[in-house]
Amino acid sequence: MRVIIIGNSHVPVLSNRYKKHPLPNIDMTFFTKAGMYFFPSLEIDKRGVLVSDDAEVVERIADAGLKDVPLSDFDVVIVYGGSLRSRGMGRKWAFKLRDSKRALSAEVREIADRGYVEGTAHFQFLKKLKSVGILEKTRCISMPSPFPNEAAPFMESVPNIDKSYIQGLENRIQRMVEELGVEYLDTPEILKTESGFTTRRAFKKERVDDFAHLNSAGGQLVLDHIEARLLSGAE
Amino acid sequence: MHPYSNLPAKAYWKRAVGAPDPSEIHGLWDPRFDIGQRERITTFGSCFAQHIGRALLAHGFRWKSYEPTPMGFPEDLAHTYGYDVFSARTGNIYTTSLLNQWTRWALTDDAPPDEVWESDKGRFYDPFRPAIEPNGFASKDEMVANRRDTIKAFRRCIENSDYFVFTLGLTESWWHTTKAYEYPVCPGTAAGEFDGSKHVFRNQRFPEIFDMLEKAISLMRTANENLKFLLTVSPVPLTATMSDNHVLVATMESKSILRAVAGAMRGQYDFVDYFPSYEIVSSPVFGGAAFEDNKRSVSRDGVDAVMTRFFADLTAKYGTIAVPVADAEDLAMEIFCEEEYLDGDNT
Repeated sequence: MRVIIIGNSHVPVLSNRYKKHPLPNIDMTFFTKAGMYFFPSLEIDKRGVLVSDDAEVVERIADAGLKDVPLSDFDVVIVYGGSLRSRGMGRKWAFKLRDSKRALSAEVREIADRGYVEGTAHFQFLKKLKSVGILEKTRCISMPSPFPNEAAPFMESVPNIDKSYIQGLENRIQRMVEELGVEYLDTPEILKTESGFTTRRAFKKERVDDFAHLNSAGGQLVLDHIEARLLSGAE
Repeated sequence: MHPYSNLPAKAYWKRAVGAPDPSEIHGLWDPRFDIGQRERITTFGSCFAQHIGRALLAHGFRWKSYEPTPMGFPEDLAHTYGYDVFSARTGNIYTTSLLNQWTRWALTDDAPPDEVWESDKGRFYDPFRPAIEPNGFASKDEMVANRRDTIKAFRRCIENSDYFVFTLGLTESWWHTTKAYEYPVCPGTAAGEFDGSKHVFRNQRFPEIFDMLEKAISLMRTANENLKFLLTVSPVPLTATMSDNHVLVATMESKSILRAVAGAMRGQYDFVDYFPSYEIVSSPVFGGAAFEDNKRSVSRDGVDAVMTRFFADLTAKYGTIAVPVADAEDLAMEIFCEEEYLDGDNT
């Protein structure tokens, strides 16, 4: 099974784990760059080939062996991270959660929630996949990067989060992704704390200020989760 | 020699106004305060006030919204829903009595009246912000809860600001006949239904307008003794008048009264200043260049001209560096982030 994982700074930990422990019968290609905000200039042409006007991204496409390779050559396209849930190291997510404490009208909340998902690089990329017909030919899975941890400094601004509000947003993300014809794969439950955030143990110890990027153990759990989904077929 | 012999050039019409090209007329404002870019500024009032907030933000000043656009809400819709138009979602506060009404709701035990306007489509409108939700609220409870948020935000504006900018807009006002509260617009126009037995017109005069403004300011300073005020008068003419006068005459009368109130307030209190945006737009010296073709709306160029003078006069007196910043919306986010909630994030 040929699989490509397209994503941002959350992907390298997956590729590192894969290099050490390849998954049997799954040939994975990783297309990513840490620190780059989900390739804002990354496009897909009518042939389903990744293209860009940005020389650095073009070079990366070539390095990954993806020059003139249509995404439909893969059995599965996985879009991972790309701020679907937690943007700006969780900062915008914290803002979004803070809005839960406001008495917004139902109409405003509906518009804002849809706009939040629509505005993510991840969702925009899924729409690009749809617009060139990739989704009709190729299985596509959307997976958000993990939640930040509650101990992240910016989470202090949103104490006592209503879990049902978070769940409501999660459901909306899933619904909107699925409306595009894309499978949704949530963060593995084992990585979540009781309140739904990501356990501190899963983050890098050497970077005490990084509450967004998983350590290798966390990355392995995500990789295992992806493997399980791939092998089980579409839900 | 006589007292007029040695006045500065700005005191003589010929030298200050008659001779120079209108674009070369400077120094209309002698700012009383050195408004710094780290000081928090909030803006309220009539339509024209929103231009001031936006221009301050665009020039790196710390204009604050205490009821910001919800995360994810589309930028192009935000103003239609009253977000980030003023520093809280009060809608237009056209009169000083309305300002006093909002201030009392925010800082005293006074509560908004229990009135709601229901449309024939079953949507609910706030009589005190009838246009804030273009499609109305889903229920009265939703409307009341939402307004409670706005009142809290308005209180935070008062408690946390260094400068409170208020643009006086109207003397003409609409009131409940018996319950002594004021509506921002005539019921039945933006929403609701007009009822002659419940709604009464009042064209306010100088003493009442001054008194209401003084009361509002005094109350605000009980909550924030360091709060300073910058008053402006909206140059935007009346859309319509109920005064029996021709609308042009009614406009001149209204604006003249408001201008006099602002000047009197500045004269009386050293924590109040007046910025002459009204004069910059309306003076015949400038030939009406700041207005759109309808002779009412102030054009983008007109707003720019006003705010250019604002920043130039601050610079001239205090050396303030006010230059346009690259992305004002991002700046708004950054300001809000660092100020209120977040730190330590450098992505």
